[in-house]
Amino acid sequence: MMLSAETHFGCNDAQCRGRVVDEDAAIVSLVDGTYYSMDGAGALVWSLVEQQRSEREIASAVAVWYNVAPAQASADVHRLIEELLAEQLIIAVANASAPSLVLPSAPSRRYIAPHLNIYRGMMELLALEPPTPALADIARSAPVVLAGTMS
Amino acid sequence: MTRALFWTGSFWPHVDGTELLAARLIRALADRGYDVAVVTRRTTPECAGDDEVYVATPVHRFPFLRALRSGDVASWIALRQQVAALKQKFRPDVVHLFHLSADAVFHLDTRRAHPAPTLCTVHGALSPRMLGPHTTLAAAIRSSEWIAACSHASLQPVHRAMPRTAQRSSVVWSGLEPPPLAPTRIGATSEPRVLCIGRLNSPEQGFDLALGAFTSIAERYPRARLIIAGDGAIRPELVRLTYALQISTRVDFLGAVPPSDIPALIQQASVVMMPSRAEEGFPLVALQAAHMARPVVATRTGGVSEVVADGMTGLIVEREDAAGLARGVTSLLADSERANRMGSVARARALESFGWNRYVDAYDELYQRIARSARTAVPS
Repeated sequence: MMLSAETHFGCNDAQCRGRVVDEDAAIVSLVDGTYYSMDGAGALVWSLVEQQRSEREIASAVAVWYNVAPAQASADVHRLIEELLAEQLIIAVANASAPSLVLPSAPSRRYIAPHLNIYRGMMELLALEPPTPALADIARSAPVVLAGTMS
Repeated sequence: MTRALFWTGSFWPHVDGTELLAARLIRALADRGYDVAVVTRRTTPECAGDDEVYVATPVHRFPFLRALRSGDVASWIALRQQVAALKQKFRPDVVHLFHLSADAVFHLDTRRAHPAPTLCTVHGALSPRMLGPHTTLAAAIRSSEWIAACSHASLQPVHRAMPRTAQRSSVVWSGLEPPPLAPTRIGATSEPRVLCIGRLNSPEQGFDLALGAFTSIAERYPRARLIIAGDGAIRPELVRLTYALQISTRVDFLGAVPPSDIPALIQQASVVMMPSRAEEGFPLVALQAAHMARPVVATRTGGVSEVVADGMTGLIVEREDAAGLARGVTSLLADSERANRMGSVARARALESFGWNRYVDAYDELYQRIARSARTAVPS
């Protein structure tokens, strides 16, 4: 599929799980455990991807919601969409049929260009976390003396 | 008063090396007037409660590992929001990532909640893979204002992976206070005790090598004993190995030993053997042995050669060299005068180069420096 500003995008549910709460987005790769996060405008972008919006709709929403120049919003959203595609977190969706986008009125928020934080190697790090002894465990376990060593 | 948010993956009542260092450092910083708050994991049932206080320092425990292992993104967001709220309330002047681990993502994701300069400490020798592009550890290190490493062996991989960190990093060798127990001389004995200390969690610790080495030692010293202090998942496997090597009646597995009992245990030993294959940053066991004037025989891994002066305070053999470990131990058992000489030099060196006040001074100075640099930074 040729990609353009009119292309609609959706979450790549086969590869990842994501969620937005307030202005925080967290996404986890089901393939390799990589953890992704975005806040502010990035979280808004992800919530609109969840609704299978087009890149143009998403950029317009960012421009309105954060009161930034449409050209800047378009450039920032395009760059983020490319990053999300490269990470296989989103896919182009044909025949998306979302209703017209209506943004609630809200005071302008401080705009920080959307950024995808990528944290690879989480599985490896978690695997490296052996249980460490706690004082209570030590108190519970009496020293073990092997057979033949007891006097 | 400087407010320091002390972030450590694992904390009291866990009592492994890094946890003990963390607990002692926090106490020392509080004594110097710092307002310290600890962020750590909620792990064992006895830590399952709400926030608590450790020697007058608030400890905030979050179920980081459970959330990360579950892959439940909703709980990640909830944790991020809780950490952000804590930062906004405590308003730290400095964040210290003392023990780098997976949960550093919750610090990284909440930096905007209350921007504060970050100091991170590298305790292990990190692999190139762990420091690759977009890894959690690389992100934590790259975003820190200063990187302190517990040894040159720990710092070098960081410099190789991120050359720019050379301008904002330093080595702060770990330190310990000498225990109140005074060291005694090693006597010539026909019943020598060889001691190994460590977690029995992984073959990386090399306890199988120690058992292999001990078979040779036991031939030369028929009444010698090998004492293994520590516990973990591979203990049954090691016990089986003692039977296979026919040394089962000569090896004592003590299980986990309270930190306060370690000096007396070392005191009863003639020599301490460190057979590790792991790239440990700073082998605290070598320092504990030095405090009790005991020589060590160790494999050349990680920061061992920074703590053990080969031929002066102990003997270093190549990694995997069980025969070398055995030769080193038997040579010291055969010459108690040499063993005592090495032990004395080791203790003097430990007090001079790896002292506790030096360690606290170094972190005190780093906290002040990076907090000052943040205060004087011109907003961009």
